[in-house]
Amino acid sequence: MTPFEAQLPVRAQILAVVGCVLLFVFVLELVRRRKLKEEYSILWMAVSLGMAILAAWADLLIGITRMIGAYSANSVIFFFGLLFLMCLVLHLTVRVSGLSEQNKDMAQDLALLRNRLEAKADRRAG
Amino acid sequence: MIGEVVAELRAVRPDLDILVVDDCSPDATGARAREAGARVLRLPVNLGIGGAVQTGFKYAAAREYDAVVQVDGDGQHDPAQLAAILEPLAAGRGDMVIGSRFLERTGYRTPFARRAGMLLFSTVARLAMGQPVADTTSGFRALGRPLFTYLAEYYPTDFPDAETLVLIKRAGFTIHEVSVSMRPRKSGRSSTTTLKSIYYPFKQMLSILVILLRKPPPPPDPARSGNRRAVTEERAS
Repeated sequence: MTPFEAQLPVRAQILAVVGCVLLFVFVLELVRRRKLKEEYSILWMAVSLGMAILAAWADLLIGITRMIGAYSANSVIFFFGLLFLMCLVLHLTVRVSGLSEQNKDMAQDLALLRNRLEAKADRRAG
Repeated sequence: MIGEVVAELRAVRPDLDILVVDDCSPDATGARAREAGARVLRLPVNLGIGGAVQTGFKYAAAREYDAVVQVDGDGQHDPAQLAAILEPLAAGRGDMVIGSRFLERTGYRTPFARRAGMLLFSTVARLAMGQPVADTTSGFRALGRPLFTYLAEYYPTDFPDAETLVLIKRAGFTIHEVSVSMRPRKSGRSSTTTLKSIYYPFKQMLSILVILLRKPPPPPDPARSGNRRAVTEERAS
């Protein structure tokens, strides 16, 4: 059996699709409870949808494997999964950098304003 | 402790305004400093030394002081030395005057790891700045208004020491270094631990490299004239 002819067992397929549906619902629920911004939810829903399609339609994955000349379908999944996670983490660290800069500026402004208020109150008190 | 430092500064130079930046310290630093007669900026979250120092520059910039002297809150900087770094600033010998521990042999001893780290920076910083600076980590510095106004806007708050110097040189400011003697710190620990002093040079190198790659932000317009006052800033975390 060559790797290209490897078929996903049906049970594994069902399990994968169910997992994707659960992920999709969970993301939706997070958005509903305002724990996750819509901006990110779209990304996660797209990922769960993509994974569901690949799981249900094994030929597509095998086609992609053949197209990019990879040896096995497994490594294609891992490669794209890893690539996706790396991009996501990079994006998040960029966001964190921006947030910490904003946080610093706000803390500084708050300290300056508080000082100004206290000085004003002191002057009024005498 | 901070109270003593403030009291000593006030005794030596009653004409200066003293500002203490309380970087969200858990003890009563802010209250003590206030009792001793300093103005206090209390940060609501801990920003680290860079963010705290920049807060002081923002304060001074908003009030258009003529000069800022940065002093550590642990008493290692002798107020008697204030004149030594303020005079060259007033004489226009630099936009920043650094009170250096190493220009001449003075009474100050530093741990070996710290010294090795500083030697490394000095070398890198010299290459990056085109000017030797013996003490890149000195916390005893005087700054003129154009410079602190600039730093109020752009300050490398993550790793503030040598980078600040590289940044301001790139932006066209001048640095003058004078020798001062320092006392051993009276209380508290250095913010630099052993692990940090290994990690720190790498961070510094990286950030200096990034500053060199980046176009320096333009300096602000030449400062308007104002009344001649000075603010002394301290930091405590």
